Amino acid sequence: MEKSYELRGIGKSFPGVRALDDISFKAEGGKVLALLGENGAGKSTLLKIMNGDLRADEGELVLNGNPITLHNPQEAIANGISVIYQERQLIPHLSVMENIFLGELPKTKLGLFDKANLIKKTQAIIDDFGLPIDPQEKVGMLNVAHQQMVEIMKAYRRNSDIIAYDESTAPLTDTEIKILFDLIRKQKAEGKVIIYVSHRLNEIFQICDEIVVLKDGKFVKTLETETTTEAELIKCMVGRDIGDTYANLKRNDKYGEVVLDVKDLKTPYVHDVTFQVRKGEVVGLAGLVGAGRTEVARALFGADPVLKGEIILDGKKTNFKYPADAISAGVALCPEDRKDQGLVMYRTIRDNVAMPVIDKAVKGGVFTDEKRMTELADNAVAKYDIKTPTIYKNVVELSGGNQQKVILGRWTNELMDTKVLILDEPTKGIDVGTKAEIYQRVCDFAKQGMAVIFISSELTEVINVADRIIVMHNGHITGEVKREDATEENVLALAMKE
Amino acid sequence: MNNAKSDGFFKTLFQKKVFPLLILLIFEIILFSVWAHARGSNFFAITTLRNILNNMTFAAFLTIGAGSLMLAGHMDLSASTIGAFCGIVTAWCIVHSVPWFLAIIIAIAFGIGFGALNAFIITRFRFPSFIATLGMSSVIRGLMFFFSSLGMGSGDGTAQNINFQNETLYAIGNQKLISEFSICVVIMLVIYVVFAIIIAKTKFGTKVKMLGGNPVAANLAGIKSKGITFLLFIISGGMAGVAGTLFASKMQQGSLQALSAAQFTGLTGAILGGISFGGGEGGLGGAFVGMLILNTFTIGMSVCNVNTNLSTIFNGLLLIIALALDFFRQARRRRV
Repeated sequence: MEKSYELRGIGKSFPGVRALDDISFKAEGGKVLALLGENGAGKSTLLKIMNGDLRADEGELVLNGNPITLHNPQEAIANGISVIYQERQLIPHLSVMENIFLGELPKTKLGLFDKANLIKKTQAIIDDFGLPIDPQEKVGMLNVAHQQMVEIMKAYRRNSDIIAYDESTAPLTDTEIKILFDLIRKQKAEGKVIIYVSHRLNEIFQICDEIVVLKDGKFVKTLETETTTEAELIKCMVGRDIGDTYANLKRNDKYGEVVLDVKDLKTPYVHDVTFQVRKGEVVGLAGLVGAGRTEVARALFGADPVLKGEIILDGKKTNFKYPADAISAGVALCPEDRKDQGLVMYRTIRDNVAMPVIDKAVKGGVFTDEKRMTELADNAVAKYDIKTPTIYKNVVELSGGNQQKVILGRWTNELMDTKVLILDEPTKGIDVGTKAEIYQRVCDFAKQGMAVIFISSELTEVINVADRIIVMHNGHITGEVKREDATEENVLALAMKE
Repeated sequence: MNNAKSDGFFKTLFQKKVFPLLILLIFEIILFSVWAHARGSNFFAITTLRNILNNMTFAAFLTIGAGSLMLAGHMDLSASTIGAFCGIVTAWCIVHSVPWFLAIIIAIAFGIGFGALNAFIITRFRFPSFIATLGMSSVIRGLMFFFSSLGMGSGDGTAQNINFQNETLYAIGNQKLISEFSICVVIMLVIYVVFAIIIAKTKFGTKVKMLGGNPVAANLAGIKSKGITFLLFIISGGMAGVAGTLFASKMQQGSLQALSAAQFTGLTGAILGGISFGGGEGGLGGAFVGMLILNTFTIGMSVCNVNTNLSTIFNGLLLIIALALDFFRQARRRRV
């Protein structure tokens, strides 16, 4: 019988959010179906429902023509459904073979653990994949790419009929991707149902037959890979053409005097860093991971010690010992890692916006002025269009984009006097629509007279948003390019220059 | 946004778990009232409230320190030892003819000093507070035994309790001030309310909760942790000093074993009252209700003539349940 997995009218709500709304599509055996959408479009939620990890509020799941109800992932597995999640679910202290056969370890007649048999079975799977992995190696000792392949082997071992890959290629190198794609083609030929979730459009075009596009928890349309183009896909995902995002930015073109003057800066991580930023200017810091961009930001912000050199702010030499000193001098930093470094996740939007000005929003000398704090947060919510029913919501409940806006709201609230704003990877993990919004904010900050330092690992972004791009490699500045002259090629060349 | 605001308020109330705690407390009161009535005694009386408050006075001082520290993600396991030490200091001073007010000041200064030392070790060497204060607790206990064996009592070098007599201190510990409530209980209530307000309403309290919620983010948002950590440990040490001095005053004795049970009650009250183990959430108000629940049970059992040792079991069980609830809540968060 033809295998298939069908979703009919699936809906799911979380407190304050409609995560999925009336999603219907059918994945058929012998085909690879891609699920595509921005972050927050509802792909992960949908996979969890298909896997029994979450229950849908409405709609039904239909497996091979029969409606089914799943209460947990174990039931999904029993029904031949395997989802390979983005976050690996391996036990690092156990060996490869134990991880793969977890829960179904082979036993000898005496009921003891049959190690020889286990090694043999695992080796057979590894040979199918053609990978140099030792069955007895501890999973924690493998590199991430091989760990990911072990995760895939777990599902392969179950020989499920329905297999969903959630961003499985993210940690893989080209070698493993090729192995994975061969595997998927084989599974397709066997008539299995394959669901493939990825952000990488080129992969989708390589391996998939059909593409289901989701946006804001709604089904947009199903496209045939053969008859569609990348541009059309992006248009479907975003709901509009983003090709002109950069061209449409309203930039600031009037620079003022030099606000930040960095001379021969040396910290434990960077050397001989010299540059200037003018009032109203957006300076990009580009480079590969580990080039030292974040470390420059941290030194400017008083979070890392300065060993040598000078940081001159508004003509005055600074000596920041703590971020608190930098903040009172008018330097602000949106850190790279929102969740761990930027926000107090289980506190309200209000508290997170008011954090650096707790000492200023006071009445009677020592008491917090709750009304003032509420005002600050209300204004930030209005100014940045933060999507939330109330400022008393904990920030953990917001999407990544809205969380980032809370941090922007923090540094630009009325009690702050930010002169230098450092944005470290401000669009990381944020969907395309909100990204465009943040780019315009960056330009607006410059218009308001701030000096902005924009750090990003996305080359297209940094060369299109910044007015001037400083490129770093291995703790040193290797060059500087104006936006008019910047191309991905010349910036990348500087980023890799020894 | 008015509507949303009230929604936020009630949600906060439930999240802080204070509301279910109040219901548990009311349930306890009803249970013991009925039970005591059946046994021919009376539970619902002002004397019962007096007994409950008397029973929790010293632990409440430790809860102020323990609760505030837990909010910031710290812990002070040396508090009860500091308290006992300060009680011995009070007794030693009185025996050596130091005026009573000076004795109190000296004793509490020791508490503050130990608190500052704890904070120094933790901020300077970046030790987890759990380990630093566990070590300090042993050091202070050793010092106390050494100190109390010097030139006191039998003089043969064995550590022992120091008895003394001082009318003023006795009055502070025992004399009724308002209705049935002693000076000592009233002092506790006043100080507790002051600190509850400090934690809930001041910029210091707000920073404490931010720091407990995410120390890295708090630092990068301009909150300096060092000063706050120092203040918190000084509060904890100082409050332990007050508790130790008052206990010695009430008993007219500097006891080596003073407050050893109060440490447990103080911590349990804070956790039961909804202060999360990871820090950042809750307040001293909830911790007070937590303490009331524990002590109402103890007193209720004695009013009903049940072996009061059973209440120790109850307290332990409640702590486990409170911790389990906290754990489940955090586990659910990780899933989301």
